[in-house]
Amino acid sequence: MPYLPPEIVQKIVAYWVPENFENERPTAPYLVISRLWHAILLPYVYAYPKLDSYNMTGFVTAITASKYLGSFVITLDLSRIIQAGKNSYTSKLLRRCHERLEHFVAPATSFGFQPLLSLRQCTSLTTLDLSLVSETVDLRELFAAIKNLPHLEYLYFPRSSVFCAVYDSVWPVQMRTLGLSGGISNDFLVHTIFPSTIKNLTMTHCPFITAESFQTMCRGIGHNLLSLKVIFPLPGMRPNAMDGVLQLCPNLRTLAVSVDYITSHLFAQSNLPIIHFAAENLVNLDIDSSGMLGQSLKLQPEDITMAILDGKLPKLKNVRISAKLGWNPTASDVSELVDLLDERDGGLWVV
Amino acid sequence: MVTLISSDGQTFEIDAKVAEKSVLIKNMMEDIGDEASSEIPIPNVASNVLSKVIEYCTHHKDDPSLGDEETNPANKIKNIDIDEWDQKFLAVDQEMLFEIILTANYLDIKPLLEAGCKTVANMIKGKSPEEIRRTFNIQNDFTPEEESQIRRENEWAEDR
Repeated sequence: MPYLPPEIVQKIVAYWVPENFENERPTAPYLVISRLWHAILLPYVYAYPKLDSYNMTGFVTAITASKYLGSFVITLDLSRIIQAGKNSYTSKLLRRCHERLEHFVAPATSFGFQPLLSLRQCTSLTTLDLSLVSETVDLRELFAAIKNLPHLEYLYFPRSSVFCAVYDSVWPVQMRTLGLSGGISNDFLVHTIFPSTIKNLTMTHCPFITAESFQTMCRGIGHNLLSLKVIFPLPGMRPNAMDGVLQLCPNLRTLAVSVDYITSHLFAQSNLPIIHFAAENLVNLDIDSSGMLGQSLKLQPEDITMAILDGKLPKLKNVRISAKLGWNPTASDVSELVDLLDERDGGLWVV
Repeated sequence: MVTLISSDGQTFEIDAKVAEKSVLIKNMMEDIGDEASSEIPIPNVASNVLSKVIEYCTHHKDDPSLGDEETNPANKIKNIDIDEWDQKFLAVDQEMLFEIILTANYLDIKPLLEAGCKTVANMIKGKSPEEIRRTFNIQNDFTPEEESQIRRENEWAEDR
């Protein structure tokens, strides 16, 4: 049998590992095949570790005991770590993995000062997801930690609480996606100068945010936004808080919103961009619902159908609605909308 | 026309367009210049393998070159699907398959090399480490102590 040189084995492995991964076969048992295979496979085993409370300790031990294993890690998703997510662990991991780490999802418990400091070294980071963190994060410290991360594109704020007092923050230069949640204040939304690089904005779990501050923020960055997601719970928002969103954000391709904050007036002429009275760029519309009393009557299929027929949504193709809206998929008003979207090669999905 | 000479002295007269699928031969031809009927020795490829590789190049002689594909980031995603003709073409015994891969690597015929590697990747799909050792004729060069240390170290990544 001819001998295959390492560079060819490497090529074969590059096709084999992802397939293995997809079928949820762990790659680790193959490390013992030979020294060559060990060298080739090790980066794959450590690039996207699947971590939970059971194997976290073993992973931390392996990473800290070795000088180079950390440099293979590309994605560190600690979202399934519940009680084992000690600050010192997180901080240690970040320090060991800083070299190539691109995606980091913080664990559900704590993310204190120590990990924030370690974060500064992770200069390859593109995604920072703190949305599960329940400990109070000082926004000032957070911005100090991320301001020198040149590739950071996605930032999700902690869900539960964030302490903010500073509005002239320096944002990373590449920021494209921002997820706002937690205890951000109305003043923060109104006074912060958001960078114009932000194209995608998500808001959820913001107990203090009101319609006014949301609208003021949209007046500032609305023109830049390509996708906007505003999802329950935002208890400070009025039932029609977002009716003007298509006018405030005329370039949206994708709008995802809980029906709790819109009414059928979303498509009223006075709420659409003044130029052609149409949301000219909207392709995807995603209507969620908290399922609370009275929400099912706020938006009906014919509201969207009429808006399409009136030429107000010239590019709309894909509509996804929550089953909690209670639309009857066999009713004639729904099938009419389905037909309209079908003609545009799109469709209606009930999820 | 170009004449290729295999390691066992057989000559293959082929169209320049076919020969140019190999980046190595293409560069050689450019170096030699326009001299008609140039002879190129391929000293480490036997005639049975070379004829197979020529068959591949003849079938694919009109394909666009892979050059522009590589710069397209969408193609970076490793796709294990193999063209149907290639699949049939590579349905040979394992020794021949390895020889074809080595020749494609040596002659620098990227699409053939990729298709060959994908075929082997498909072959070892779902196999155990021991079966893979047998397929590639690999000697386990770890001591039992080293082996158990590796298992311990990476236990966190095993199936639980």
